This record gives sequence, C-alpha cells and structure tokens, in this order.
Amino acid sequence: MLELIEETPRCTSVVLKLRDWTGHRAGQHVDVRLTAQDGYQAQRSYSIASSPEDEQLVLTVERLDDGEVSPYLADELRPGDELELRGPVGGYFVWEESLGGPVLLIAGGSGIVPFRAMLRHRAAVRSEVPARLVYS
Amino acid sequence: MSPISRGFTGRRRPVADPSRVPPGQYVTEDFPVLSAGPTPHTALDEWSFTIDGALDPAVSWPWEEFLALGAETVTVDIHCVTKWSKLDTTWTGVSVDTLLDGVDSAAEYVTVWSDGGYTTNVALEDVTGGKAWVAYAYGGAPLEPEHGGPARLLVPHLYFWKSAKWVRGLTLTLSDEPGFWETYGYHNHGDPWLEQRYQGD
Repeated sequence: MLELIEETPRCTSVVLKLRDWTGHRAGQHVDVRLTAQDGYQAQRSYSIASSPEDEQLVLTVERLDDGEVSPYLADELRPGDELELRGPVGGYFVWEESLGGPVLLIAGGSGIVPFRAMLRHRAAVRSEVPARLVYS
Repeated sequence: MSPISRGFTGRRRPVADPSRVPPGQYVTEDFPVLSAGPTPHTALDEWSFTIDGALDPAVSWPWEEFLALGAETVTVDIHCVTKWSKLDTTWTGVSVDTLLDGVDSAAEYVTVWSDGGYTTNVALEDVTGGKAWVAYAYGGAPLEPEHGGPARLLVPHLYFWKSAKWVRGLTLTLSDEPGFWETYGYHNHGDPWLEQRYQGD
C-alpha cells in the first residue's frame, strides 16, 4: 500500500502498487482478504476506482462502523503494508470507450466508485462519448 | 499462503454454530438485496411456470395451478458469493422434484430462466432429490419482489446467484450451457463449501 487518501470523512482511497497485475476493465472489482496472526481470515469485495490506464490501483472504500474489513483499511492500514487481493472480478458492470454511448451513470453513496473508474478511463483515452453522472 | 495483515485481529462475531458457515463467509442478520437489473413486476394473472427444452411436450402451470401443486416449507441456510450467509431462512414453495414428476427427458442439465432475461445453469442432479424449490413465500409471507417474488428458485446448497429471482421456468438441456454470471467469470458450479466463487476455483 502506497498511500491513503481521505476522500470524505467516511470514505478513503487506498492506493496500491501491484505485482503481477493483469490489468482491469473500468467497473470491475477485487476481493480483499485479511489474515490475522492465528490464521483467521475475512474477505470483502471492493470496486476499483482507478482507470485501467492509471499506474496504480485505487480502491475507494466506505468505512462501515460495524464492518470488519473497511475499518481496517481506513484506520489500521499503513503505507508499506501488504494487502492480499484477488481479481479483477466481474465483467458485466463495465464500460470502456469501445462500447460507445451516450452513457448515463446513476449512483448513490459508495456506488459511485466503479463510475470513477469509468470516468477516469473516459478522460484518459480522451473519449468524446457523451457521459452524464447523476449522484446522490 | 496468505500474508499476515499487520494489526488485523478481526471482529469475530459469535456464531451459534460455526460449522454452518462456509469458508470466507460471514453471518448477517439482515437480508441484502443484489440484482443486475431492474426488478420486474409480473402480474400473477400473466405469470406461469414452464418446463421446456429436452422434453415433449413442454409443461406449464399458471399461478393458481402452480400453487395447487403442493407446497413444502423448508428452513435452510443461504450463502451469497458476495460473502454474506444467512442462517435459518424459512421458505415455502414447490419442490423441483414435484415439477419434474412424470417428465421423461434425457437431459442432465438445466438452464433456469427469469423475467428480465437472467439465466443460470445447474446440473439436474443439483436441483433434484430434495435439493431445490420454486419458492413463493419467505418467513410465512408472500415473497417480496426485491427478493425475487412472485417466485424464485431456491438451491440453498449452492451460492445464491444460482437461486434465480423472478424465475419463470426451467429449460432442460443435454449439454451444460453457462448462464448469466457463469459467462462473466463466476464459477460454473458454485459450491460454497468448496469456495467455488470464480472460474478456476
């Protein structure tokens, strides 16, 4: 883990430098797995916020007070720590320039994260596909 | 071998019987709603349940006839591939064994299909022998549309994406044909005890 970015009081972006990453499509997610000293594990899925063109992988995570993985990512993880990921996963909820448009993206709360990947991808490839984001 | 996550101890919630929780799952008390598209609202007088494909002729029941087939009520644990499990859920519905009673087919596979276009594939042996139901009540009340009402498949021994919401029929097939999530990288079988989440597991 390279850096934590506090996006809002409840949301944190986790910037990761990956070994052996095969690349992803905008809208895909990863599974994050945490392992305690005694072997206990917890895993959850998180959407990727970075575009496929970005150098680092970014997960944007909403901290759930009664959660198990998100408070660890937001409060405990430090630069230099290792994180076990699996992915990318999911090929349905994706958008990339070749799919064309126009695109209308509607999200609430942390549902915006996969759209950040899509919009970053759109900007990175200088797409002229019309896009509108409606967010609550 | 997974690396130790520095500073992670976990928030282990006491579970009455950990042996009922498959690997990588956590127990939830609420009932999360996940769907890949809008919730269909099919009127009951337009609803029917059909078994077609490798049988002749196809069979179909309108809603009232479907209800008259004879219900079973079962209490089972369910496991979603997104990691939540819910224990002791009570459902009422028609056993797939009842639906296939008298059907003569060489099929070994089933494509489950739903309003809205969703499909999922299962082996016939995974939905027969008292392992699957077409459920129309949950907790004694009509199944809510967000949870798949008027009726959803219930295959509790597989990850819950196999328990198709808004189910309208089974197509019996001679070969195994991947359904919706199965073509998007999810496991073809989906046994939670083997943690068959994604292709290659």
